[in-house]
Amino acid sequence: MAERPWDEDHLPLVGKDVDNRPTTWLVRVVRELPHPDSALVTEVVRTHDGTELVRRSLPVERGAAVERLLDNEIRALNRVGRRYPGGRHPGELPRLVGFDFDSAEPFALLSRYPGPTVGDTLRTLLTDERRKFTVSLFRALAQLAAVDLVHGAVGLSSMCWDGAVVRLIGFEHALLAGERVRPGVTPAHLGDDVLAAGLVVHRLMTGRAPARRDAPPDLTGAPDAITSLLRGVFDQDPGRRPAARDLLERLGAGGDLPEPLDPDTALRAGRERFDRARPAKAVRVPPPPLLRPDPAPPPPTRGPVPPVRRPAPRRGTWPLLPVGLVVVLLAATVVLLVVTR
Amino acid sequence: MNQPPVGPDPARALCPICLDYFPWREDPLYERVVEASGARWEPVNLSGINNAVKRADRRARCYVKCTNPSRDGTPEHYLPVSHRGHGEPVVIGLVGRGKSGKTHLLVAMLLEALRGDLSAHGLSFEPADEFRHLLFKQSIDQFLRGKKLDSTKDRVHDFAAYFLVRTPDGRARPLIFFDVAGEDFMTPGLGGRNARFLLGATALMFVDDPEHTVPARRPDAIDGPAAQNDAFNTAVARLRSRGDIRKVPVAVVITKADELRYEHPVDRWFRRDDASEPLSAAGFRAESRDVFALLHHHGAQPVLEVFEQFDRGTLHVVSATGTPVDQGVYPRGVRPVRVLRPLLALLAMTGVVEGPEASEVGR
Repeated sequence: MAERPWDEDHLPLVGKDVDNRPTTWLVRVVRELPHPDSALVTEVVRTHDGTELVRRSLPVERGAAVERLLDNEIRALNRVGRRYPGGRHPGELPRLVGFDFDSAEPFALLSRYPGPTVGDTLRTLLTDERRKFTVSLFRALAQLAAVDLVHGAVGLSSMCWDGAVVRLIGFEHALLAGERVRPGVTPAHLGDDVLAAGLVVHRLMTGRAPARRDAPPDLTGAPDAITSLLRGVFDQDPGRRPAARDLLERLGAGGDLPEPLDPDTALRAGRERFDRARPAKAVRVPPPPLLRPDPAPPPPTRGPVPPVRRPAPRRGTWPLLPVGLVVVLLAATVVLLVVTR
Repeated sequence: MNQPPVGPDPARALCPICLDYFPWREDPLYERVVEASGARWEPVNLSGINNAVKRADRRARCYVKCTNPSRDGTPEHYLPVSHRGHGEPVVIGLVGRGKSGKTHLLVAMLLEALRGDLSAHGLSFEPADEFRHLLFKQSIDQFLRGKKLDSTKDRVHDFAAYFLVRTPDGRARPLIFFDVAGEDFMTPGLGGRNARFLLGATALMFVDDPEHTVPARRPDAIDGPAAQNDAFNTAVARLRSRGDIRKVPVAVVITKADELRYEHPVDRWFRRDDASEPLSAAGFRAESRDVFALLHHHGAQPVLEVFEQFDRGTLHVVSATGTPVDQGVYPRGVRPVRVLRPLLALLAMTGVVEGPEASEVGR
């Protein structure tokens, strides 16, 4: 009998890979990872071939709300995995290895986190590391924005740092741009992540957290390096905040982001066929009038008054003044002759 | 010999089951009596009830026997008294192959409708057929316990559910659903009775599942999309005897869309919680366009073609249960997703929901 390459501590995890292929992983839980601010369980697991992965799953106390959080994470990382396949996958974003959302024990299986969450280690970063950290953080956001994803909870507990790259983790609040958590609340905006990352960068550069979580930091009197980088980041209107790509430009690091695949390319032909079958309603324009109306008077102009053109004398007509003089002279001559007789 | 007039008549009613016009006689009324020995229809005598309120209440739960004047072999059948006295009934037929998820869709949809989930649109629903609703309620209870429903059977002749839908302006319309098992629907014979409801349907839901439309994204995909949908073909062929079939409003529904929940563009539509938002024709169009494009990309020709055969229609992705069944049960219970969208679309397209936006839905 062949020896099994795994021991009895390994349990099967049955799910699908990011290409939807049914897959079974034999895993053993190594340890639970502290994940502040997360309602999901986070564990390091080791597969039978020794690979370490991260499993995200439901806590004991569960229900529709917490299931939705896991669904958010699986959906977001599925989207990242499909749009950045193979070698395009950004190092700043977790790779979804597998998932299951159908069974009694749903899970997401992710690539190993590169290090602990940032937390208080932020203030220990050296000057050069701070720049790397900032660039990497905005790269993560730019790559998310390119696939229309809003992380929704960017903060010190949702990013890992290995000395070279920031990796965003904890996608349980991730939504597509424009989606709402529930009806009636403000829709998710890419600018939400920019503001949250701006707070982290401000803290990184100043060592100070904002006095209130909901109040943006005051940049008055801050060094130029901070104000020029974070200009507009804390605007009340998320639509007026700079994009993550803009911030990379400000940092002089905007050049080499991987281009995600565009899934709409595959849908174009179908949309065109739909439009032929159901033409979109054109903007309604009033029907043309039955009678041609009188031409409207020209609008008043504010420019210089154009010179009045005098009509040119018409050709083939007699000049009036010389003829009049001749008539007057003839009449005077006749009168003089009559009087002198 | 004088031919009886064919068409609406105050003293006559169109039976949605046998499609005969028959004299509406409430003397006698009937009720369904269920005993250990079996169930039967019995005449009811209300003449002894001298309290008008009590009498009205009792009458509302009675039935009128259809005389089936054509004697076409349809088994004896009865209609609830609410069939008369309200507006013209809206008859919605579900069309789809066996195991495409029609029954689960209908149960989930009506469960949410009865719960008041369309109240934002001023719509309220109430059962108007006590006998059939008791049967239907058994399905609802089974569904809520997370158990897979039995496939439809023995409903070749009868409708599945009968409701009154009340609108904001105080109108009430009977709302009747036909859900015939896919296999029975396509079985020839029975004098054509198996799909006869199509001839009287006000609107149709064409139902199919990802297994037959978008198989490439399924874990166990082997074949391409189904080249034929016999249920759709049967329905369209049958409808042709009505004349201009293009005028029938349709909703084309991809059920079990939880299988596609992480697929673009389903990942955006599947999670949208817009049941309480104002009705938007543009919203229906945008979803229809995306679903059409997805089906086109995967070569689901039967679904595309059936949609294109009607002038007014919408396309939807829904899930009656939220997750697939596992050995007869839904492991984390059932959580219907977007099941009211096709119903709302059909209610707009049939004029039950009125207004400028409703009048543009599906065009």
